[in-house]
Amino acid sequence: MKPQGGVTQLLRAWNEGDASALEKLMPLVLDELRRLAGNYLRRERANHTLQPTALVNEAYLRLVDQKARWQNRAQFFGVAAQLMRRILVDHARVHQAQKRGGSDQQRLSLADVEGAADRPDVDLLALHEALNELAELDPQQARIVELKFFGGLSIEETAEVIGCGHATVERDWKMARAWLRSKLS
Amino acid sequence: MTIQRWQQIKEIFHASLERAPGERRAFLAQVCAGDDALKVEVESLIKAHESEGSFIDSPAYEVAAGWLAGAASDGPAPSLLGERVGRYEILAELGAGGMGEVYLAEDTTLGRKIALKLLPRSFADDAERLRRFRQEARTASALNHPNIVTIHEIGEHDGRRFIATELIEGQTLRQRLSAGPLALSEALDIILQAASAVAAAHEAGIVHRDVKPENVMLRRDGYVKVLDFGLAKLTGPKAGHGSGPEATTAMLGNTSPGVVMGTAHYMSPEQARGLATDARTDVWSLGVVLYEMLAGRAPFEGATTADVTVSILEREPAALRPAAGEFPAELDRIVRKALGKEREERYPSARELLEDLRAVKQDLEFEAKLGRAVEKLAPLKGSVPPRASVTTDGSAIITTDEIRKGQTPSPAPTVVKGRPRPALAYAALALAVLASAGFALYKLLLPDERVAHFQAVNITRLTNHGKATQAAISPDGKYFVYVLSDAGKQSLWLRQTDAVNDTQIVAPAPGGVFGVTFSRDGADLYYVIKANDAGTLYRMPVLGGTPVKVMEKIDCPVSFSPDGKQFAFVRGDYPVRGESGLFVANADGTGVRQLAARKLPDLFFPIFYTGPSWSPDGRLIACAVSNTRSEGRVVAVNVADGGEQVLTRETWPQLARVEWLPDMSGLLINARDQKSTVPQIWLLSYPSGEARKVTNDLSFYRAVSLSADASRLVTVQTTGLVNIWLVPGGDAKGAVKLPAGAQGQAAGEAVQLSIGNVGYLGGNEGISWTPDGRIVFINATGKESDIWIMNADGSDRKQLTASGSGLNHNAVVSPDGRHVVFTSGRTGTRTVWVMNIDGSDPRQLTDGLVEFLPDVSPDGQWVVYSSLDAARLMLRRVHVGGGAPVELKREGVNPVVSPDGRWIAYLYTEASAPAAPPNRIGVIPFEGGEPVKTFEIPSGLGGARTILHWSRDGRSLLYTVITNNVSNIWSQPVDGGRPTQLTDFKEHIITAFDWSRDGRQLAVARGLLIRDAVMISNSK
Repeated sequence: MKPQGGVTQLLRAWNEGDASALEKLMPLVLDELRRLAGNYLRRERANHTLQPTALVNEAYLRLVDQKARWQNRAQFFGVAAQLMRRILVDHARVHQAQKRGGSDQQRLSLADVEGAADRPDVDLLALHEALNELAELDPQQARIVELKFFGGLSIEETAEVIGCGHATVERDWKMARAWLRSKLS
Repeated sequence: MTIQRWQQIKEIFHASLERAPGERRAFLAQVCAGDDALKVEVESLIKAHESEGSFIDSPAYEVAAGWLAGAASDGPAPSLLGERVGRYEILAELGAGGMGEVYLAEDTTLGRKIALKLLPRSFADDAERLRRFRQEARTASALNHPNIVTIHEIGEHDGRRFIATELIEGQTLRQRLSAGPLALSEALDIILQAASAVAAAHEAGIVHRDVKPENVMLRRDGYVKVLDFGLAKLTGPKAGHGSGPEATTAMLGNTSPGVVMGTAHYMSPEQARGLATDARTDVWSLGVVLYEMLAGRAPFEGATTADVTVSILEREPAALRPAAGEFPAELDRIVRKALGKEREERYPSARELLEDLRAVKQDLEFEAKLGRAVEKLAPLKGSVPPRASVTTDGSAIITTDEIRKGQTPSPAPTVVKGRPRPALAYAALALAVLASAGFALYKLLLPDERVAHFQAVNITRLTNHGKATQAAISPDGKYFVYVLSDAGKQSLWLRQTDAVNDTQIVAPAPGGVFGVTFSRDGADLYYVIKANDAGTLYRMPVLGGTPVKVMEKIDCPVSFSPDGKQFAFVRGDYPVRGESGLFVANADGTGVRQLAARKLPDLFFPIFYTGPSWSPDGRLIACAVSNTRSEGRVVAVNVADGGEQVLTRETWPQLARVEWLPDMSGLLINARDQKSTVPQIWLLSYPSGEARKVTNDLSFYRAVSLSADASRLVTVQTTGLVNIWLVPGGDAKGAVKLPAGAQGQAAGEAVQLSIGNVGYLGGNEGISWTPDGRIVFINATGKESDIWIMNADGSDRKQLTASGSGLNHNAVVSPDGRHVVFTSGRTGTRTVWVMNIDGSDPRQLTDGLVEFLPDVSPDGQWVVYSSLDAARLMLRRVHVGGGAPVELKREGVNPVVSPDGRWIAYLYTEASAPAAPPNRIGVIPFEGGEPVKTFEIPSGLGGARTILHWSRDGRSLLYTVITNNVSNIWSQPVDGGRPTQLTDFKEHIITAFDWSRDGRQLAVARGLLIRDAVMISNSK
């Protein structure tokens, strides 16, 4: 299957409710993201900064049929954000498993990652769990967090993906963020 | 918590946020009255909301990307170091970009370093796109343009496509730009070379689509190389099916902050709109690159891709203000024209842009010369006695000398006319005039002074016996000498150019006379006789006398220094095989000194017919050089220090003699360019490297000799005519010329295919019977060579290959009669193709450099063919359905499969000399391996034009031999025994033959070469 046609068709299938399409989609997108990320990081050494959404955009442009772009953009970004979340959480789990046996309960945080030392700290697995909890209460807010935090999208882009107004996203984001902050503090 | 509760909290939270922070507490107390838990929940949210900074404000993406990259680098990148990709061993990583990783690698076969680009896996799947990419990339590479990166191979390894290209040591223009502003001259030099590359591609029908500083490499020696022709088409978003609109990686509608892969800035309006691209798209991108080099920033900027896109589509770039120094206003006009929003406003292709830029550069150089002249004059005002330095027209001459050096031979023209004045005043006037009117003067005066050498020419035939192989004119233009080749012997003849009687000055002798040179004073004649691969230089008085041996081990005609005391020459395979050198020696052959050397794969061009030229100012010796890829260049070697400069802009597949014009405004060269089938005479401008044709016809030219005043040029013109003959039973007496079987002019003078171990000239023709008794043949007309089919009586001729599909050769009909296998140069390199017998559905089977003389196995499944690769002629096999070719045998040519399909016979050379023609026949099993039988072609019979076939019964091997300029077919019994002559033709050279399927009729393509000395002079 051609990669572009494949991704476009899977996005369509997923959009039409075929949940298994997502599982087929993930590895394709992951492959591309992995490659692009590698490129970016290598160039970063030459003083290129990594733009948050550039990777996803790039992957999107590469993987999705040009003609089908307008319809599939939102879904694609949704997929990418979910994917990033999975990667981070999986990675954190592996890390945690490796550390087990040392000081118990030490979890991977973003600050553990090289180059992110100056970032405010967060426990990824706790965040993941809190986000699952949030999704039970308010699926839209959870999705917004996923898109913004994991997918790196702006408010406007998130609104486009979700299909609602900027103001709504802004409000939901504020609350979700406050809730997660208080939950994880 | 319930959903209802959540909704409640949500509403109160949002309502609170609408109030000023100071009022929120009171508001909460009011709305949550009686529900403390609710109040606590919301309060904690508001508190969290008001707290500064949080992990969640910066996306996790960067971190994830780090891990992703970590995962990626755990994978292919580092593990490839030391690994092999095909025949390439990876040595180091050079970089990574959107198109994949690039490595430094060593080609283990050829022992050279190359750059290896591995494309992402995801690009490998779309066969149609890949095919188009390969085709474009190869075509661009095959242009052999010095500014286009040469592609060695496009292949696949472990599911990933790779591209092996020449290694460029240097930096990208992007890196150079980030190091600081470029001087105007530097920027101009870069854009001129880049535009020249793109222009050449445009002329070959290729659009780059992704010209940007990242794709422009600056080599340390000043060469600029444009990368990735065709790649944008492969990696860009796919547009529908086939030929729809295309765009680069950045697209309109990309609203992300930041730029995707950095391409948006160089995107044209039509690309931003997702419309179709053409040459003018590249013109735009070149304009952007030029603007950025001059201004130090891109013309269209923006915080996001979308902003950049809007800027591209709607805004005019800010007026060009150079980052460094002054620049001509003309440049601003050129940039604006290149950046026309509508394609119609732009230059139609890079060629026109290039021409305008060149004009700017010339003007600047002229200005610079004026500047220098002005500097020279300046001290006159005070220190130097005026009279001594500034004479009647002296001041101007300082300037014009500089200008004239390159451009005009006429004596001392005056730029400033006027009566002599007091020196100071005169100098001041000259300065004023020169400074203010520099351009005008340049434009007005120089074209008049400049001699347009051989702009419009008359060609006069000097001989008409068709047997002249070399010719030279005396410096005074009064005599010319030519070599007469007849009955296997060569003799030297002299004639006064205005007389008709020829005088034989050297009697006929075996061996070839390679070039003839008059001494500078015109009194002596120097000529090289080559016999048994060793050349010897002789001297004799022009008006008769005894030849004196001057020197041994010399491989070309000599060229004298201006004072006539020394000469330059080339030695091949010296001091050891595979090396060649440019030498100078005293006129008596003493004091030999080597000036320059080449080692394979580079060499001083083919030795045959080449020759150096000593410049009129005595400083430089120009000579043709090449490598085994037939990338020929003219270089000038500095006599004083051996330093070299390249005089040609493009590379030439064939280059022979070069000859300086006396005013050093250029050289006359005998060369074949990419677009031609036969060498012509060209004028190569010096130092610009522009080349234009002096002759423009279908003849094959060899040798260039100029009179001292450059008014007359003598060369040898070869034309040929080949016809198809039907020979019942192979009896030459019954041969019938088919009325319509012309194989075209000059067909006999085939391109020399090898400079390695097998010298082979044949192989452009082809003739093949179908099972139903029709004949497939080659019809070469002018610049095209096509495959035709006709009935055996010459009727019902039909063209099978499409007009415009370039040079198609070597037609072989498959045993079942359904297909024709042939070779074609339509993709830029000569490769093996197959098509249906009606000409439909042509498919490319191989993708080598020079592949020829294919044959089809009796089961129709396999094609065997000759392949020239890395200076070696080898035999290969490929399946008729495609797939990877298999090497059958190194060092062989003209493989033919036996009728039973078990054996392959081929020609090879057993000789110590390079480029010796085949003199043996080998027979190997069809699957390859060592020869099971070899046959010697009787001494003196094998040659560069020998063609091999199996007899239809498989009992004999048939081959052509030439004796005394007549070809005949000989038969070698496979069981052994002596070969016998099969045909008894009394004239003509055979270029192709084939027996009908029933073995009853022989079809043969044969004809003759007419080689005459001609004189070319300026007309008017």
